[in-house]
Amino acid sequence: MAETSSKRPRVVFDLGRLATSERDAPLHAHHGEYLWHLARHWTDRLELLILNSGELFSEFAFLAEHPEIEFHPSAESIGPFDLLYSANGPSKLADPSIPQISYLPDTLHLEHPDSISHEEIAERERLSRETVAQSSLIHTSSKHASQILATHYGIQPETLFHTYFICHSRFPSEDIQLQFDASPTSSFFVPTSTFRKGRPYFLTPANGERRDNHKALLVAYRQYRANAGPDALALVFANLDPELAKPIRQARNALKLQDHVLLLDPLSPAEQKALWQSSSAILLPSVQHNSLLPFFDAMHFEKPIIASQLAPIDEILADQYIPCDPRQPQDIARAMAEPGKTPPTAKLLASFDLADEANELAKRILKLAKPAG
Amino acid sequence: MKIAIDVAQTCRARAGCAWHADSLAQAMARVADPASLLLYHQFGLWLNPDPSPGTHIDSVAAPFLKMDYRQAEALWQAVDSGKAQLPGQPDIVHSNSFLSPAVGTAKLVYTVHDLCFWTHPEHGTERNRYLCQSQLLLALERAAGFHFISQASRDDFEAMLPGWLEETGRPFLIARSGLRLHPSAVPDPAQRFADPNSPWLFVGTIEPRKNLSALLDAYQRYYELSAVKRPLELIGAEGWRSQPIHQKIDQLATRLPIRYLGRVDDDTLKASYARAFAHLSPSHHEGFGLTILEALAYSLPTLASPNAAAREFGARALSFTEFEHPQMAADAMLAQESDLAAYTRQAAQARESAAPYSWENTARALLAFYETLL
Repeated sequence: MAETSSKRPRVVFDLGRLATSERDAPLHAHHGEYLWHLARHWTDRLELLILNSGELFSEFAFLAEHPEIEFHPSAESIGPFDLLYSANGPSKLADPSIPQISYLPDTLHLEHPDSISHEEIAERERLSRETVAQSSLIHTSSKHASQILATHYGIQPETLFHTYFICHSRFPSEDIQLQFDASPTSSFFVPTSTFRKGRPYFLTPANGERRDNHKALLVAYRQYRANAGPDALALVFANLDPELAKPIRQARNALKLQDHVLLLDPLSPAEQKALWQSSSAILLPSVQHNSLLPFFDAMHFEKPIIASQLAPIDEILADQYIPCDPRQPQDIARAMAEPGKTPPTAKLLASFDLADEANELAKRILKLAKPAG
Repeated sequence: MKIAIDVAQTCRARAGCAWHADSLAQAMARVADPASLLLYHQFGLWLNPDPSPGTHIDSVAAPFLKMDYRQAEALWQAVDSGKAQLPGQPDIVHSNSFLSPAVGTAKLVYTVHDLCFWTHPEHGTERNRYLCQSQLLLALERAAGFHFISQASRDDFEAMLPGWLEETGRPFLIARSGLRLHPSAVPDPAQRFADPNSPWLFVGTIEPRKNLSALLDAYQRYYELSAVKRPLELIGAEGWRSQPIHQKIDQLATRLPIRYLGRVDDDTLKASYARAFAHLSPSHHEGFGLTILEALAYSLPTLASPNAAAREFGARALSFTEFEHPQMAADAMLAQESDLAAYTRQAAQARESAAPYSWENTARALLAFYETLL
């Protein structure tokens, strides 16, 4: 790699491994928010280059208008650079002579391997090891994730750091209304046969992977309804990956819950905002979490949180949520009956700030990247 | 009426569900025309590279037995997509392995052994929870009728899916399992009571749900306090997450008369029942309580945890104790060996309690149930 001439370090953000599917949607939101912050506050000290060979995700579209950021469709046009930031695991641009920070938020195969196939475990392990081998620093999404990686891969603690997914500024300032419509004309509607306007509901924003535990939740929901009677809240699954939604829809129908459980495809930020605002509580009994994004969103919208008792959730919420054992439908149902007991989550959000988190990343980059010019 | 019986689990190391499938198939062949039966050694997702160790019954067809498992897999997939019919063209397909494959135009009958994967997930594996959960939810859609092996399993189903059977009107039958091992001669209780080498007996897969660790704690306490100091005999195959229990057995066996026999054949198991002093059943949860029934048939007083399935056998047949409290369980064991009259009475009651259980009765009840579904 040739020497660079700029006094500001040239930092390449490689977005190449971000998938277009709903699975990586939280990552899109995360990197979009962080890049937005870096572009606004750090371009006097950093040159930002983004490598994105495919179609630009909507979450990054606004960055294209920022004159301080260079977009490159291929590595050939980038030229020399001083630091590589890989947005999701290993990078094809890796070069042993250039410092690299890699984002490695997903520890599913280490924490809950039973939820994925043996082939997927092997592939995730291969990618994680490749990432660790390439990287000078590993960026994670929680203290818990850092500890898992340190333990499993023997990484020195000083080469790991974490920042949180605080991305609620992605929600637009204007409000839209939930549309109640028996014959949908848009992708976002609430069928009137299922929901009357104003019906209260639990919101479960998760894409429907096995770790999200939707089937156990549906069983729990049937139990909850039997106990709660006519006052029972409805249940809305949002941001479902359309392919993953099929068996969930099948289970919902088999459980005779069609009139009470709504399954929604991925939504725009404006639609998500409307859905969040109208919800009564957030219900996330997943067996493992990587991004923690929905918890920060719940704090932003000041919603009670019912969630699995897991270390990364304790890390950010302490005792400010209703915990449950995600493996036991009866325990999930028990927790669903208690949303009124949840403390307000908005105060917690005061402890977290996107600027602080993004600044942490910027400082790490500056410390590591020594401009050759 | 042509009936296909799922015996896929009998092709590998057998545990409760496999013994259930084997016993049911054997009994069906005794009470129904064998020509009306089919044995399925490959069943949906449960595929056996070598099905030959599975249940065999003379004069009952076994269309998957000689089929390569990859062919069987392709056939089940073709049935699932509506492109093929099941071999033998059954009217009824009876699932005994928690699986709910598509069965074409046949009626699927789904046996609910237990719902431990929801009620006690901490004792199993997550992979098993996902599989059983998915398959049971599929059964809600696909099964024409449900078979519960005990009132306890029916009650668990109701607790997990309240009102579902009533709301859907889906037929179901509670037909309790039968007795698999029949004693050739009833051992003399007085002789066993007098013999200090007649052991306490545990029979069951070595896995956390069986609560063997608590039993070992209770046995240690018993051994400290007992004047008789009977040995402890443990029988059962290695199950999931059993390593810590095996370590504990190995450690204790260096200083206490504990004998772990592992998996044994039926003759060895019968001999153990025949010479045992009493049976210990510390399980957290059971769907039925197969080994309790076997012990009762051998006139063995049984000391059990008060789980719902054990309680179904009745207080006359069993004594209950909390194995989680070693002193309480040890006291119950000491009481058992301190009173010959009570011991003899319990032994007689045990035998009486086992008498009504027969696989033929279960098979007849199921045959009548199948008829209602057609």
